[in-house]
Amino acid sequence: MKKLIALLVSLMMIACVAMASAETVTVAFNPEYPPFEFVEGDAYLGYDVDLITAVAAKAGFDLEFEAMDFDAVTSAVMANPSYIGVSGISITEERLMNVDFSNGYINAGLIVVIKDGSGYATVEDLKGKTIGVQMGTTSDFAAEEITGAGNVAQYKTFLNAIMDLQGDKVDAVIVDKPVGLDILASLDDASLVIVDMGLQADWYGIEVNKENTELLEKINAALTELEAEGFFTELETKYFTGADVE
Amino acid sequence: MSIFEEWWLPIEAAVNDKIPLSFGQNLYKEIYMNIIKDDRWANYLNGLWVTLKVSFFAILVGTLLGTLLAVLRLPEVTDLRYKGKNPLRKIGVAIVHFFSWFAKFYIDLIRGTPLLLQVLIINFGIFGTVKIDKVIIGVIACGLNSAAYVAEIVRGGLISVDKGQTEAGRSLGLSGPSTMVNIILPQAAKSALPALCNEFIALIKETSILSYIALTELTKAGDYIRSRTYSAFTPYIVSGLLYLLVTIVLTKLIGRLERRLANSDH
Repeated sequence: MKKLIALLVSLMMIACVAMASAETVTVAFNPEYPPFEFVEGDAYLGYDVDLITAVAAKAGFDLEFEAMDFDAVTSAVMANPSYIGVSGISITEERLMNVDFSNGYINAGLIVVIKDGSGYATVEDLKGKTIGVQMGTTSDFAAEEITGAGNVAQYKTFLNAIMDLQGDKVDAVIVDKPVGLDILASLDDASLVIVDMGLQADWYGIEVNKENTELLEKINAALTELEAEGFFTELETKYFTGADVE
Repeated sequence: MSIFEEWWLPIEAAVNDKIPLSFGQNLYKEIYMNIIKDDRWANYLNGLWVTLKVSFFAILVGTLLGTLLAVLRLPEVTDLRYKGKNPLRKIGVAIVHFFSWFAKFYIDLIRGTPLLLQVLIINFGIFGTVKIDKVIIGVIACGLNSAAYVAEIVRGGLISVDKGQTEAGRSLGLSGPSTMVNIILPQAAKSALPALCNEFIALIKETSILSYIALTELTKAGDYIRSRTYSAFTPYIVSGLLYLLVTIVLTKLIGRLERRLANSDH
């Protein structure tokens, strides 16, 4: 154990040294989350991809994208000072203990997807039911609070949760609003309905390694500029399907 | 407040005040966050229990089905010929040949495709619209997969038994199936045991693939903790140690069984 940690620490030190000279920032993200990030052909697209590309242009650093599972993103940013997490990541207390966040850039809200006719209308109805979520997301934490840890089915991707909802293996799926609307529009499955149960979401932010405060300041400055230019509204009309996002 | 929490409080304060932690404090932070807080140790144990359940029944399914497949692949079965005129017997031989062919096909198919794909197909495809416990899906997927490997291991064991044993059994008046079950299989099992032990260990570890279909087994338990603590090391090391514990115990048990079976060699 001690040796392992020593190894990890030394690896991190090497990484730090290597990073200090490089100007390339690696974006850790999970491109299975349309409309925020997804793959089309061999290109990464989405709200977050456009956003971070604009931020990088303003702040003056190069980007490299590295796809991974969502629940690996925060760990990757913790371990590498040159990594940032841009993957529809909500700013939460637990994450703030481990990484720094940029200013929030969107608050999308959570929705519940259920089968037509199951009649769940409020959070109360979901108590004790099996809820499918993508592991480590705010939906995951919300579901755990509603129905208890034992009743939450955590998937690697949100789409797998929806597939098990179609197959009646879970009773409901909780997901970020724009993502749910987007996927349901492309699935076109009449047996699935969306319910807004007023679940609160947190703001999405960009994760930055705690040691890299310089990068964090650059990103925040760029975000403020972009907001003033109305860039966020542009992105919303480009990527959201009829979702009214507050 | 437990002693663990008392030790934790000053470290939590240091984290909040952004005071750098010492090596020991960091180590304790890892242990506290990933094992002690919110009774997270129970997550590992629950995961271990699910892994053990799935592994046990998958080994059972795999061994029984695998043995059946192995017998179907024996030369006595594949070379079965009937030159008489009885149409019923002709059909019977044709059916046996079909099953023998199917066994070969099944083994090739299962061994030639990844377990992960098989799990995904069984969960989202075959049982796509059926409400069924994930543990059962895990047992089916891993059991069917293991059967193909067990079949080849048992076949090797069966071939290694001297032909004279079959002849002796038959000349003592035992029927073909009875000779197989009572005389050949026990001897084959003995020589196949080390390879079978290998397969069982592989199977136990491969159940980790079931985390893909949201079954909370041991690997998923580690994944779950990481998704709460973002620590990339400690949860997986705890899970890994538990796997190691299970496989070491299994190896010891099978080793003991091997020694006991070896008594009959003298």
